[in-house]
Amino acid sequence: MIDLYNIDDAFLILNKKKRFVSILVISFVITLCIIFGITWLSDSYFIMVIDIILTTIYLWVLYTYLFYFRKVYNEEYHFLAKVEQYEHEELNGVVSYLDENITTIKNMEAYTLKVNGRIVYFECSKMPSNIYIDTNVKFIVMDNFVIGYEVL
Amino acid sequence: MHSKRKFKAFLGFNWHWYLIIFTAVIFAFYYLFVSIKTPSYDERISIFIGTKFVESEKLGSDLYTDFNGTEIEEIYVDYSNPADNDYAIIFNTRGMVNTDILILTKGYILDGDYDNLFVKIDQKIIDKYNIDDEKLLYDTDGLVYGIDITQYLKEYIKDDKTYYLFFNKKSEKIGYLNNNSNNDYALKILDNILG
Repeated sequence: MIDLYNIDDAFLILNKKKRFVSILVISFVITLCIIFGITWLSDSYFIMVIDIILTTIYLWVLYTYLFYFRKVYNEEYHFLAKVEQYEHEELNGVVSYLDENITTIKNMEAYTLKVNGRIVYFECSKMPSNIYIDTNVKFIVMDNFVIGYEVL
Repeated sequence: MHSKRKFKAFLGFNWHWYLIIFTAVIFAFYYLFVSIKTPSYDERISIFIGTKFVESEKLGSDLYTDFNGTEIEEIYVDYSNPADNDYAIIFNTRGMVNTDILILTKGYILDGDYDNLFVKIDQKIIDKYNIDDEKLLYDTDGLVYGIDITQYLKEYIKDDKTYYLFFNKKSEKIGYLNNNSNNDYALKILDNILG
């Protein structure tokens, strides 16, 4: 049985988040020092252009973190926490349907499979190449997501 | 989970916020820099001239040469044509508000109004610059309010009118001529013009 998700990954996500925030804070301080420093020395319009570029880049990165990466990290973390805490069910059978068009379910990109008439989702990035239609599989499922598998 | 496809989709839906951030930063820094670069009231001498045309930038630049290294950062010269229909409004706004020196031809201001608008030029100044009596502009009470500086302005104004220099009564840069003065930099303009 191959487990696709590990609660230890949650700590990796937290670390990723902390690292991102540290980078943001440090770059904020550095950007502010540079902006004030060079503006103090000269208030020419060329300095203004540099200030605009630095500030824009910083604000773009901040916006991307707040409205994309933070959300993605939180969702990943919560999913892993669910995997740890929720009841899992076993699903044995033959894959009768496999749709490789990407579906986004709960912000995860997944393929849709049908096993024993039950629709489950398999995260795209974790899908192995040895699962296809008519494969005999044993899935561990949580919240309709495959979190462990074995090809029989 | 994060993927390039999701991130591209995010950018596709949010590109306008990136544009708004960029535009807002430009406006913010432009406003900041203009505020920093614009001299304050005490750092600038404002001159208003009632004439059809004057080489205002050249005049301001030439007058500024004596102020390098002082608190004065700019000598700003503004002008308006007395023959224009809206000159009266311009005179009362751009002319009289926050200006230090006015240069006008005789006749636009009624004799009795000099005292309301300008400070009296006292004997100390007349003696300091050895100003001939015929160069002085008197009001009906025999007090001096204006100084003829036509000769100095010939390089900047190409007409044959006579121009008088007046000090705005409300200026705070005319030293002892106004009790509320913070400095006398506007008075020092006379060093360049009459010196």
